[in-house]
Amino acid sequence: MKIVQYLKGLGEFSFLLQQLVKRDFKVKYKRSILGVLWSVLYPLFMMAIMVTVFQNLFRMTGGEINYPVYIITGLVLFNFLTDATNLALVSVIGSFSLITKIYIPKYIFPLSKVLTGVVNWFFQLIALYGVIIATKQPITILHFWLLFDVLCLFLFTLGMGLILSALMVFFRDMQYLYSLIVLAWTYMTPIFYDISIVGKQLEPLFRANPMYQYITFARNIILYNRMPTIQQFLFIFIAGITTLIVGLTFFKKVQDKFIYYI
Amino acid sequence: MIQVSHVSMRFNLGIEKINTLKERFIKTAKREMPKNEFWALKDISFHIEQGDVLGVVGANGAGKSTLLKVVSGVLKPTEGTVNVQGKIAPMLELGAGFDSELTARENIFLNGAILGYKKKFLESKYNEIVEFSELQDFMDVPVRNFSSGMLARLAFSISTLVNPEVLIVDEILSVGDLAFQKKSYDKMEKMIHGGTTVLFVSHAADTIQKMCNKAIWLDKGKLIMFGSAQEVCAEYIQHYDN
Repeated sequence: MKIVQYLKGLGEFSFLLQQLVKRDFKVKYKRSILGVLWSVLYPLFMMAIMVTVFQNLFRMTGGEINYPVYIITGLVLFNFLTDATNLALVSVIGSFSLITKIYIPKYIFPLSKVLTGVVNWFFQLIALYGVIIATKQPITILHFWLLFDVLCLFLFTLGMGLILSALMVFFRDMQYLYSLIVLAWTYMTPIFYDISIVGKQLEPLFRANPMYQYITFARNIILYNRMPTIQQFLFIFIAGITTLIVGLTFFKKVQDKFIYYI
Repeated sequence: MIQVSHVSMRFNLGIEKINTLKERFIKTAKREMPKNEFWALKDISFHIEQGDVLGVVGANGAGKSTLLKVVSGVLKPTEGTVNVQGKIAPMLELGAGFDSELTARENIFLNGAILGYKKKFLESKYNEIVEFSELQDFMDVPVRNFSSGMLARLAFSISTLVNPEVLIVDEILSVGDLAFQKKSYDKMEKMIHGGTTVLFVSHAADTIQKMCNKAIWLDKGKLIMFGSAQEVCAEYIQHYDN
């Protein structure tokens, strides 16, 4: 397969990837006082704000379920997507000084940013488990399946990152457009509400949103201690792998034109 | 060995300027998608052997840098083929691969990785790099505090780390103080004697005469002359004297 061949150089560049991720990590926290702690605090504060706003102002309680855990599960997964894709979006245009001087497989740049997103995300995971433990939500053996969820989300995000980083080269408007898309996407994903409130007509549409599926998969395990269904397993895997293949194919097709749009 | 046959490189000047959707939309609506083609290189062919030192001369905009980019694989030629045998080490322009927030030590590893070196190798050569750059006391300083001369030293020390089979140098040796310039020239000479093929761009014909055995003269993307450095440079100098 062509795509497999395309990725052949990956092993050779693993040290470069490692260095790029390390660089991003160091630069991100170098000048802040709380440093890495921010990555843990940020989702916690976001959750606290949402719980306060929706529980008190809109009288949303989520019924029997653990509302803080309900929210932070959705937040942490959605944050991974937005953080990683926002980094990837400008990864190619931010590396033009290198691209014009030396041959490096160009997919290295979005890939390294999505990996940086993974590293940053580990701290959000601490926040998630902090809330789980603090609210006495039980942790079961089923939690191992979360790894599968995260892996599929990673493939999905990488595919998105490849597409966005390439589009950004040709249309600089993408930066503004994408922040609007993310805003709409955030509200259309049941992060702080239950999908039943959108009504019978819109529900199928909301279910087709891959982010809803990634979040629901995790909520089944964390909140309801329930094994996700076969359909859910299939959906999240297919959404991930398809997006990645589309992303790679598109990126590979247009990468040689990048250099004319500097 | 480097074999360049019938290489042409076309840039589309019009398209380059359309960067936003709005511009594209307006231009398309007005049927004004410009098609200003510009040939940076036109039907260039030459061949050099392992150990040759090729100087590239020509006025500004002659296509010298484009040629180096085509040879190093950064640009895909519009027409023709390039065949290079051996590992290419481009000498990155002043800190192109550096991150200003990182320290010199961290940048050595980052830049080394960009150039395709492995971790173990860089660790074993680390002291050598530091020694050659003469920046021992500044290794833990972020390079944003470096002067351009210090950056050049660091960059040069990293890119000449090994004897690559092909070294590409784009007017980088004119930086740094005189003592370091001399040191850089000596190191280049050593590499040349060690069998490295070098592609060297310079405006200074006398430098090329001194360092190269072959030369290529480009003008507006066309090959004017290819041959021994002495002959080509003599013609080149004569052309511009008249």
